[in-house]
Amino acid sequence: MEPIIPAFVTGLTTGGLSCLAVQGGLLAGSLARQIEQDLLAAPARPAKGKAKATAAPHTNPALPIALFLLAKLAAYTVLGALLGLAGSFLTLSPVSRAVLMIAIGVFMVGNALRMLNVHPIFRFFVIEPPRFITRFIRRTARRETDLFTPLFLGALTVLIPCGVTQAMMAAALGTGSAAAGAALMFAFTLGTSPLFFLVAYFATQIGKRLEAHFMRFVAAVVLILGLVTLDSGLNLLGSPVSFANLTRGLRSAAAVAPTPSAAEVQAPASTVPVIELNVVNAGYFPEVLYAPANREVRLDLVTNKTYSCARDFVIPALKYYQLLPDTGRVSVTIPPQAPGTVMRFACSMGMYTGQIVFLG
Amino acid sequence: MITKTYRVGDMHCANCAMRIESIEDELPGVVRVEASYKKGLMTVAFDETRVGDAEIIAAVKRKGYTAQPA
Repeated sequence: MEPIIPAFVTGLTTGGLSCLAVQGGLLAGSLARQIEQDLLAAPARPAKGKAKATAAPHTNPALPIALFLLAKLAAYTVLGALLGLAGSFLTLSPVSRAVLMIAIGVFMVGNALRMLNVHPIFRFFVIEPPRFITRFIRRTARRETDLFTPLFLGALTVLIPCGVTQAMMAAALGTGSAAAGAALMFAFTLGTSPLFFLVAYFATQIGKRLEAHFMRFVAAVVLILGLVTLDSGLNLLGSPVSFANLTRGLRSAAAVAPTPSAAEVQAPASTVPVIELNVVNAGYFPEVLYAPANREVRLDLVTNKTYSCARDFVIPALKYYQLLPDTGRVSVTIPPQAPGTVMRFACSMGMYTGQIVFLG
Repeated sequence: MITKTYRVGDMHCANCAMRIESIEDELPGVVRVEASYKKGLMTVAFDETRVGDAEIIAAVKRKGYTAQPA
């Protein structure tokens, strides 16, 4: 149940923005028909204020927006359950999860660059729903206002998930349980709702001019999130070019003790050298471990009331993956490594990282 | 009945294409509109005796976009 609160917070902040950018049009379509009609009925009127003024008094848009969001919440919860159920049949290995994260990261960065209109080529990053679906949605949205339309369109948002939602869907798949997947997607979608509601409620007042600024802001947030996801994927692959691994040298030079000599890390020939890594809630300590080269080494992973994802421990080079107990000690035998080898490890989300340097 | 392609500006998502396609329900004489955000184009099938370029371009403009014959 641990990732539910982060999922809610993600929804509340970035997810809400990103979803709104993708699904806002669908929500607008589900709002009271007269709002759109009033806008359409005023083509010759240059004063936008007038059109807005006529839009409001007919109906209160709060009810259709609430229904839209409720349907969306229900649909995504069902989707989360299905993904979790699917995940219980297929276990994602750290490598496939890394590849998935990198793909999602690239998709998000591409989408952000598309929103920023950097180049028309980035338009290929958008997933366009099939024409028969858009036609069907449009026709439904144009019907007389009834309570069914926003409910139906809200449920249809599952067909156009935004980048952040897609990342969350991958996480739901990773839970490997229908209940956990449903809870995760419920928490995330619930988190996206307040912002959705507020922006949608004031959407008629915002108009197109502000929409462009809004899109730029969303693009910037999605760009950052995309880069973070991409970086996590690289960490999980043990890639030396991730941000954490590229900057580790600089950080450790400033803060950590100097690199020991090869003789200092050696153990008597008769015993297996043991190195110890503390797995704490905030990551791995020390971040850089030193071990003798050319001989088998035992790595002890020590947890003590560790509940963060640091517990999900991965050594990509050894294809080692283990969910550590929240308190305890787990040993990993590392086969002999050549001098100078840098073996990277990370949590299964690629958030926390560290490395073992073999000295000969 | 003729079919004509227009270059559409200011679309920023797939929903914009959907919004533009709604012209098909609103402008008499327009039979079918297919807009593509990726290509930045729309193809309109219309009865040229009932509606013309100017009305179609104006309808796109009312939606907040620009259109010109491709």
